[in-house]
Amino acid sequence: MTESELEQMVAALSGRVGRLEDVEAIKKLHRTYVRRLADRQWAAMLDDFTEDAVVDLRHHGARTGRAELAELFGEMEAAGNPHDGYVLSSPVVEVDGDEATGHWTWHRHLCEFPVMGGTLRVFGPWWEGRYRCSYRRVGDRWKFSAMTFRLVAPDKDIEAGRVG
Amino acid sequence: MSDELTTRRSDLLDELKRLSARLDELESLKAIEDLHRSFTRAVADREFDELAGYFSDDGVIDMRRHGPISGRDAIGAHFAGMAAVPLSGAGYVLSSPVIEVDGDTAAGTWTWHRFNAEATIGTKRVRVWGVWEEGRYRCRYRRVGGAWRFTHMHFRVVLPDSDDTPSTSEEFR
Repeated sequence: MTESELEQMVAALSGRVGRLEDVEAIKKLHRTYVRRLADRQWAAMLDDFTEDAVVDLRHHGARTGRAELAELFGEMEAAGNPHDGYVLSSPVVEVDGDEATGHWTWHRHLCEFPVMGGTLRVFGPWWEGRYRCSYRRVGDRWKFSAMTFRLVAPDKDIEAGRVG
Repeated sequence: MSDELTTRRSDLLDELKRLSARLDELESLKAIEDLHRSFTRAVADREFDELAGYFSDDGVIDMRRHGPISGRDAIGAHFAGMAAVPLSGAGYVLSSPVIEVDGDTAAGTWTWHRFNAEATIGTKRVRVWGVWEEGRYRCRYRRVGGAWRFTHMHFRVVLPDSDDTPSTSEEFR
């Protein structure tokens, strides 16, 4: 093997290791995001998105850019602080240079429901949802550049244009 | 060998060393995830005799309201005491690991769920579906003799009702 061939092999190996490191970094990003969602840390979540991120969550309609996303998170915060549990699983992440895509499964375990004068603790109901995301490397960290989220079970979400 | 060739070879060796370190970090990440997942599966299977072996000699645990417990022997005694607790028939899901490796030490945060299927009503255990708890592990790990072990394990239930604010939380972060 020539020096040149050896250099090419080392460069190729470095690229392959780099892609594995990127997949792990993206998993950390998404897992931390959902843990913060459970803890209702809205400001910290906002920093996980690129400036031009497009976010399309359930029936809320697509929001573009951090300002619109901050407005959406404000609406979600105002809706209350349910003591629900979240499980994020089955990541499939594909990296291509400074861009990546990811699909995840999400479960939310609900236990509080509004009744006259307060909330009622009822265990058992759950939802299954799916994240389809794009990620972009900004500087030395990965961020969400696009996020679509829909419930799929036991009942599928109604699309924004059909609500109401 | 020419000076140019010597420099290229030296650069290659340096790059190979960096690659080896990056691979070691990825392998450590996998080993630590395997460690923690196996620990939780052993808890679910009530294999209490095995649990102390997941810790370093100087390991410390701080689980819910039990207070800090130091040393592998004391940790083993703590888990042995759990054998006296009636089998609850609960299921466990461990998710969202975020592990940071730094050489032979590491730190990790996990989300944990327990799905209960039994409750005590009066003096009887009855089957009740649906009740769950969400908890968080904040742990530190160390490589001992080539194998990763827990050195610190901090665990609290956070949802739907949070354990009391731990007085020792900061020690584990």
